[in-house]
Order: sequence, then C-alpha cells, then structure tokens
Amino acid sequence: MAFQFVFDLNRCTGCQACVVGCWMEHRARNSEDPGNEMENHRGHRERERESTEKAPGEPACGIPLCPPYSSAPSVVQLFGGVGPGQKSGPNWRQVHTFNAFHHPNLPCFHLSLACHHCEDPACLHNCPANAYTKDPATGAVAVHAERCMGCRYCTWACPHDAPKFDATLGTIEKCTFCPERIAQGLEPACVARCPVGALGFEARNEGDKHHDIPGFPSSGMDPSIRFVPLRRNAPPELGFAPEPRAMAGFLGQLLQVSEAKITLQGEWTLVLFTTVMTVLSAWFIASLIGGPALPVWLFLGLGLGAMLLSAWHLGHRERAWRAILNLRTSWLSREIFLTGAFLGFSGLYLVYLPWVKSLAWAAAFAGFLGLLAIDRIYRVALKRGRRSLHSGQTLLNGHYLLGLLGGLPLLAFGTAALKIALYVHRKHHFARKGRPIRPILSILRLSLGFISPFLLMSWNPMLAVLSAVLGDFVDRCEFYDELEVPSPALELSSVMRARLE
Amino acid sequence: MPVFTTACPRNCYSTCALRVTVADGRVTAIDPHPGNLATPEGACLKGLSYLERVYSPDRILQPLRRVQEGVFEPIGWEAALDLIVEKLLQATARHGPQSVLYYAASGTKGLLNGCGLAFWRAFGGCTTTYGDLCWPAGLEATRLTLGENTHSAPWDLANARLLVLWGKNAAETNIHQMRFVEQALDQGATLVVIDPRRTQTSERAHLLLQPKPGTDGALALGVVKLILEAGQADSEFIETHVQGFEPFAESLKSWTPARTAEVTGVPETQLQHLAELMGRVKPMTICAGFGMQRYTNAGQSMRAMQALLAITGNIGKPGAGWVYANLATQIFGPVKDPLGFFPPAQPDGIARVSISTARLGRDMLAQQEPPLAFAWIERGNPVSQNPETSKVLEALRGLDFRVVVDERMTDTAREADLILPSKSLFEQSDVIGAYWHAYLQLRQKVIEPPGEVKPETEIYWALGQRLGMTETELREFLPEPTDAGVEAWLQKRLDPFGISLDQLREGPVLVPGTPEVAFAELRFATPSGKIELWSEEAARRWQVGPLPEYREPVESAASSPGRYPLHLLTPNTKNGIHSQFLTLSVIRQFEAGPALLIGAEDAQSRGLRPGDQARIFNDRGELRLPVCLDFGLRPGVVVVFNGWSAQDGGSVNLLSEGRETDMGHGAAFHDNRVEVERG
Repeated sequence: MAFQFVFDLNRCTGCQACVVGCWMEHRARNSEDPGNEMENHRGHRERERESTEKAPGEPACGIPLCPPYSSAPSVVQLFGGVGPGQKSGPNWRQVHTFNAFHHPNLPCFHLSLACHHCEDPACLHNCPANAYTKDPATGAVAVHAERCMGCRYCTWACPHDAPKFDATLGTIEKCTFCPERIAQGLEPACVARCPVGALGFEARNEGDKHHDIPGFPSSGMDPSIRFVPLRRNAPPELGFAPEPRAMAGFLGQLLQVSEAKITLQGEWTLVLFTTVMTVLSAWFIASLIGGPALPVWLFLGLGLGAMLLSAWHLGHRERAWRAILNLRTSWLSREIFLTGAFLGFSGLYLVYLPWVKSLAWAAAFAGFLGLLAIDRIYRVALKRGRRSLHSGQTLLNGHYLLGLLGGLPLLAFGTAALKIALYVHRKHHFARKGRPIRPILSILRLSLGFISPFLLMSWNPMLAVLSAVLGDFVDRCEFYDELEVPSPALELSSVMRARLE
Repeated sequence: MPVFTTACPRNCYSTCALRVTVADGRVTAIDPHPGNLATPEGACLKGLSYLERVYSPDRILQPLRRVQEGVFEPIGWEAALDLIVEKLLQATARHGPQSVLYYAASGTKGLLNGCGLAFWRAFGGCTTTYGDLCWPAGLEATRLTLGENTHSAPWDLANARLLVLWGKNAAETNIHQMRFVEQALDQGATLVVIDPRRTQTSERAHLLLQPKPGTDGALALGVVKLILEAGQADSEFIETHVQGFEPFAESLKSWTPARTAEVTGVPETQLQHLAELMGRVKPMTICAGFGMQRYTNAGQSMRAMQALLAITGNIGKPGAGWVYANLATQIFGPVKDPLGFFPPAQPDGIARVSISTARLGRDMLAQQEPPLAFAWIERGNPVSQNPETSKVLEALRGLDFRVVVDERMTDTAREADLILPSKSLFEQSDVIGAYWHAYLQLRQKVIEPPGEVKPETEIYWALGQRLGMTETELREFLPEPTDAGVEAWLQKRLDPFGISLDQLREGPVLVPGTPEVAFAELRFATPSGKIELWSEEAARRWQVGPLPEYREPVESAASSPGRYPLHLLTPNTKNGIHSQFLTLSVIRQFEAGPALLIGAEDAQSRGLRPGDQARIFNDRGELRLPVCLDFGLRPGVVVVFNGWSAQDGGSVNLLSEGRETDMGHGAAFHDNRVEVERG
C-alpha cells in the first residue's frame, strides 16, 4: 500500500522532536558505535564505498542513512527571528516557521517537512545518474548513494528541499520513508516520535490534501502529504501591537532568507563551462560557413578543460560517467550527452575526418541542442518563473556569437536586439521589485556585449567577438547570481512579504 | 533487541514514560510508551536527545580534581574519597559538622535522592537549605485556598470549554498538555493565554492578554469585580463552598476597569472580553504556570486567580478547576510540598536548615556559628541557576573545599575542588513521581554506568565506609551498592501501597485512589473545610492580608521607576530544563546560544538591530548578548532564556537578586529591572 504523511498545522508546536527522532533512527540503526558520530561517519563512508549496486526497487535498508549533526554553532542562524532560526543542514526533516518574530497581523505556525515521496518526483526525473527509484508498493522515493555522483542537481529540482547533499559523503541523502519500519507495520520514525500527534501516516490519497498551505511550494508533483489547515488562520486577539513604523525598519532584515542554494561563488566552474561551450558551439558552426577557422589545439584544449570543469563540483568524480544514464527524462543527462557528442564529433571531424561534412553538421546540431539543454537545466531555478527567457541564456548567446563570427549581420542584430530588450526589461522589473540593479555591471554588460562589438567589428572582428563574449560572461554571472531554487523557506518568506505589503 | 520501560526524571511537568531499546549494552532508541496516558505520544526533543547526552564526549566519567582555575585532572576514586574525608575531618574539627553545606536541587527525580540528607545526618549533621527555586509561592497559595495541591487528570482538560493558560507556555514547557488543549479546541473550546510574551502556546489562542510583569493579581481582582458586577457569580456555589466571599467582594471596590487597565497595562476591552468569557463559559480550567509566581507578590496573585474559579463555581467538576501542581505521587514522605520547603519550627540540632535557597549566596555568606567551610553540591547548578550569581560565587569561593557531583562541567562544577561523576537516567533504577500526572514510574537501569561513574548512593556508601560507618549502619539509610540492593530498597518503599517493581517494569502505575476530577466531593483540607478566600493562616504565616490583594512587586515600573526601565523575564524554552540539555549538539542546532529578545519599539529607541550585541545591565551585573527582535513582546519587557553557562555568554542570574516570594520561600527571579544599550 502506498502511504502519505499527514501534517496538522494546529498541533505542531515547532518542537523539533521529529527532526531528532529521524536522526535517532538513522544513526542508531546503522552504526556500530552510536555514541561517536565521527567514527560513525567514517564507518558509513567506508561501507558506502564498498557497497555494490542494488537493483531498482530494492528497499533502502542497508543504504547509509546517517544524517549527522554539525555541532558548530556558527552554522546555525541565530539572528533574525524569535530565538534562533533553524539551520538548514544535513537533517532530512526540517521545521520551518512562519512569522517567527510575531508580526501582529499574522499567525505564527510551523511546517515540518521532509521528502514527500511525490507521485511524480522531480528529483527522480531530473537525476542524470538514475540514482533515484520509486517503490511502487509503499510510494517511497529512494536515493541510492552508491549510484549518486554528487552533482546536486536534485537539490535544485526539488522545491521541497528534500534531497540533502552531505559534503562528507559526497552524495545526496534524504528521508527514506523508513521502509524498514513500514515493513514491520510501524510508522516512520518522525511520525512515531512526534510528541503531540502533529505528524501522521496513512494510506495515500485519503481525503482532500489541502496543499495550498503558505510555504508549501506548488509543484504539480503530487506529493504524498496531507495537511490539516489552521483552524483559525489568524493571530490571537492581541491587546497591543508595535507601531508599524517601528516594525518597518526591521522587516527587511527579518524576512531575509540567508541560505541560497545556488551562488555565483559556488558555481563558478559551471559559469566557465557554459560560456566555453557556447563559444565553441558557435565558432564551430561559423567555421563551417566561412567564418574564422577554429584552431584545433584551442578547440581541444577548451573542450577538454570545459568537460573537466563540469565534473569538478561532483561529490564523486569517478562516477561522472553515470551522468548520461537518464536521457529519457533528465535535461542534465541530455546536456552531458549532447555536449559530449558535440565535442566528440567535432573533434573527430577537425582532427581525423575533415572531409566528412555530415559529421561536422551532426556536431554542429549537437552543439546547439546542447546549449538548449543547458538552458533547460536552469529552468528549475529561474526566479521569475520557469518559462521566462533570460538575456544570458546560452542558446541566445550562441546565436549572437554565431552571427558575429559567421558574418550573419541579421542574426547578430536580431539576437542583440532581443538580448538588450530582455536585459532592460529584467532590470526594470528588478527596479520595481526593489531588487538591486547593479548599474555598473549593467554598463559593463551593455558596452562590452553590444556597443564595443559593433564598433570594433570592422576593425578587428576577433576582438569584437571577444568583447561580446566578455559582455555575455557578465550577464551569465548575473544569471547565476539571480538563480534561486524554490524552497519552503523562501516560499514562507515571500508569502509573509506579500501579506505584509 | 531488549526494550525496557523507563521514565524521564527531569524537573518537568510531563515526566514521560519511555521505551528504551538497548543493543549490545548501548541505548539505541527512545520511543513513546503508551502506558502513560498523559504522555502517550512520547518524549520531547530533550527526551530523545538522551541518546547524545548519555554518550556525549563532554560527559564526566571519572573523579576530577582541580589543579588550577578551570583546569582539572583525573583522580582515582580512592584518592578522591581520601581527599574528601581529609577535608571533611578538617572542617568538622574546626567548626563541627554544621560547617558542611549540603546543597541538592532538582536536577533529577527519585526516591533515592533522600539518601543524601540521610547520609549527612548520619555523618553527624550539616547545614542545608529551605525553600525552593521553582514553585513554592503557587503551592502555598493553593494550599491556603484549596487545602492541598492536587488537580484533575491531565486529560480532563479536554473537557474544558474555556481554557486559561495563565503565565504558562505549555507548548514549550509541558508540550504534552497541548494535546489536551487541542482536543478541547477541536470540540469548540475557547483558549485564553495570559502572558507578557506572545508564545508558541498563545498562537492557537483566541485571546492573548499581555499584562505588565507581576500584575497578574491586579488583573485577577479586576476581572473578579467585572464578573460580580455582571451578576455572573455562582452564588449557590459560593454560599456552600467558599469562605470569606463577602469581605473579598467588599475589598474589590477600587478595582474599576480603568484602574485595572492602568495597573496591568491590559486594555479595558480585553478585560471585559475575559470577564465575559469567564462569566459565561463553563466549565473553565485555569492552568497557572511557574514563571508568573516568581515575583515578590506572587502568592497573593495566585490566590486572586484562584478566586476566579471559586466565584464561578469552577471547582470539582469535569473540565473545571485549577491546574497548577498535582502532588498525588508524593506518598512516600510524611509531608507534601510546600510544607517540606519550610524550615522546621523546632531545629533538631543535627541538620541546620538555615539557608534560603532563594538567597543562597547571601545567606551562606551570613552564616555564623559555625561558618561554612565545606560544600557538597549534587543535582544542582547554583552558580547559574540560583539568583544573584555574584553572591553565590562569592560564597562558594570563600569556602575551604567544594565537592560537586555532576554529569558535565557546569558553571558550578567549574568552581569545585573535586568533581564526582554522576549517573545518567539509564544507569540506576529509582522510583519517580510527577507533578502533573499521578503516575509512579520506574526509572529503570538499562545500561551499566560508563567509565568510573558511580550512582550517588554508592558514593555515599563508599564514603561512609571510609568514615568508619559499618555496613549495618549504612544499611539504615542507604541501599546496598548493587542492583539487587537498590531494587530491594525501592520495593520496601512501594510495599505499603501494594505496588511491585515488576508492575512498574511493565509501565506507569497510577497512585491508588487518584481521582479523575479533583475536589469532586467539594471537601477541602482548609481550616474551614471550604475554599478559603479569607485565610487566617496566610496572614499569620506570611504577614500578608487574609484576603488576596494586590501589591506592586519590589521591582516594577510603578515601584522602582528610574534607571532601569525594562523588565527582564528569564523563562525556559523547549530546548532545555534550566541548565540541562543546552550543551548538546542535537539541541544547539536549534538554539546556538543565549540572545536578548526585545520588542520593536524598545529596540528602535535604543538603536538596536537584529544581530547587534546588546549590553543588558543593572546594579547587580551585566550580560552581553546578540539581539533578536520579537514583535510579540509587550513594550518594556525583554527576555533572556535561562540556563546558559558562563562560557556561552553568561547566566541570567548575574542580573537577578536573591529575594524570596511573598509566601512559600520561593525565589522571585522575575522581580528584575534592567536597561539595555548597544555594546
């Protein structure tokens, strides 16, 4: 029988026993020495390395299940609410608080969230390495650590923030649904150890699931959780409230969500990788239609470098080959596959078979499809909606460079116009939303990306292209900086912001 | 894997029954025990965190001797006991046995705790404390009004139609009570919370009243007056069961809504709303917390609050009543609290009960004939948890020798010359009672003590032998130092009640004869046999008026205006029991350290922003803590949770003064005015 969690917003007091109950279960059941976390950790790591692959659908027992605690208080966000905030760490379950600082207009409540073992799980579909399985019997979505290469793409794809990257293990871990307990007729550990009966467990699809809860991202993935909404969605009748003006000065700081999953600093290898792939794809096609020739050494050097860069951030680089195992549903898999195909075909063409034009055009096609795949990958993390176009997208950049390099003025002007329009529109939108515009970056981006290439074009085309690449690079950096993975914490903060406006 | 029944012995309402799984001599899981109907869903996060606490590398596993300030080195048991004997003999040779201070607090529950004082009496005597840090004012007020401290079963709260949680943040300090609150709310009950803070408990409330700290008595009197004026008193009930109603009603003349609102800071509309609810909705239960009776006027405030139940007839019925403390499990001694807290009328010349716990530091310093020279401290952390840390430190540091028995390096242990490692809850069996439900439970031994840990009874046994006591003498007051010895000792104490240890191994057992509904027969153990609004004993024993009346606390906006405009409250959170649990990494991930909670206006006027460092100070001391904004605090009130150590930034008691409550010999922690500034 498939199951679902039940969560009663009225009963939850935010006590965190579910988080500790989960930790107890998965630490104590999987280690020789439950008292020594570090030992425990090493034990896991070794066992995990030794473990062999399991067949899909096999229960998750035996898979390392160790959400360790960091004892370093510095990672705990202390400021910004009533008492300490909750740290997002390797806990599989997290309690999120709405209105922790008690704004008088709003109620305060908690959401205890883990993995919801969705019917249509984004983690599973997006995982390039086929590390996820869904057990049709219980509905449990499991991640198999020995198949995970630690790319972390599932942490972007899941709006519920369920998959957790464990830096020590180099792999993803997450709530398992406690299949070994289910098999014994027990509830998952978090449910069994909730001291107030706020968490429950029942057959899937019992009753209306009430998913329109503030802070619960709507995903269309049919998560296996039913909410019991607040009896009274209002604060208590209060005798006083602070002056709105006194509160206003603090709201910005209090509503900040500090932990961004994607940062420019963290993803610089990917910025370089996507930029290099754009340049190579565009230059390669341009070289086919009469543009400047692509030096083989440069091509091979950049291509190889880019591939290495793209694998640099993996938790387990030795498993990088797994990246192409899920062409069926993962854009990340497709990207790696297409990029590989492009580099392979074009390399073959450039080095050995320069007379096989069809090989060249196959490479060119794979290259631009690869750019499309790159853009699709980031759709999970576009703040302004997953369908929106961005002026720094690789496919647009690729067309622009192709126009410049291939001597196709119509293409160059057309994409430039589109990119400028998108850029200006975006900055305008930021200005309205009160987000930073970064005028110096904008000037840099526009002058390097568009003004100087058109001025330089007739004098030194390659310099013009270099300038355009740099301009796009600035935009690309901004693009990464703007990426934001939806999460319950962000959702709660934006609902609060909206309600207080 | 074997699964054992046991129970959590902390000083906490819930006293949860636990099922503990042990594999290869180690605890691997802690799960709910459905046999305790008050806590069937299991322990809170603290109870679950024992898995770390018991095996934490921070635990003290062998005797430690101080070599210089803050530096300790292991010392074997033999040498440790020799050292203790040497220092004890030194002290007694100079000043007699009463120069030995025996200080024990509420760190763990159990019948075996009584062995401590018994040992020191057999030693020849000691000096010890009276009073209690926690709850005496409320206990005494209840005893004076209702005759005894008992209340209906915890689950009876689900029958209430009006629930008033007065100064109680059950969601954090008695989380299992929230299940019954929720059950009542599901059935359409109304929840009122009265607390200067907007707490987790108040989130599901319909009405939150936020009086100025220490004005609860005035609030109660004002609301009584409104109910009487509305003609909503239960005159039949009053006639039959209430003593002193008329003079009480007469005494309320001045408590007009305007004056009540002025004194309490609660708007008149809210006063009317509360009076209307209390007058109309029955049955009503008032659950009073401990924090609100830690003021210098708290006993009288509690009596005034009880009057609300008396005049509306909300006593002795299902869903009605006063839920403060249920001492049904205090069956093993001759007297129940709070009488046990009072210094004996006739000193016996052996144990000198002369130091008020609330004024521990001051009274220790003042002690003469003989002065104190040696201290033995167990189950307590007075340096951080008793009022006026600076005086406690001064007194402790003035002694010749200090022994502290503890699981970990507390602020008090740091002051010790010798630290003896103490058992965890899993390492010695004991029978424990409770004060919210009426279950007797076996806190069962499930693992062997780690390292060189010895339970206190075994320490006393070894020490006694070293002091020349024979085994026969030791057996008079101590169990033999074996598991069988402890079990026989416990069984002997259970025998009179027809309860066996085997029964308790299965699960909790209700004390025989415990009623579901307290005072259902409407008989009260007061001098008049009635609910006493007029209490001669109150006046005689505590020099207060015989009627509940309101006086300003010693420190309040009205009584001590001036330099310190903010009222500091120092409550507990769900993350700790006083200074316990807060050092664990399981807990610290949720609360990394102490912080100052301050309201928007108070922060703004001082130029404080979230994360800034604030200096919180008064004449007694200062703390420097990061700022957290809480828009739900009433202006003029700031909060720092108690229990943090000096290492974390300091105990709140650096700022409190050693003062007793108006009755019961409690500690008035919350008479505490401070100022806050950047820095």
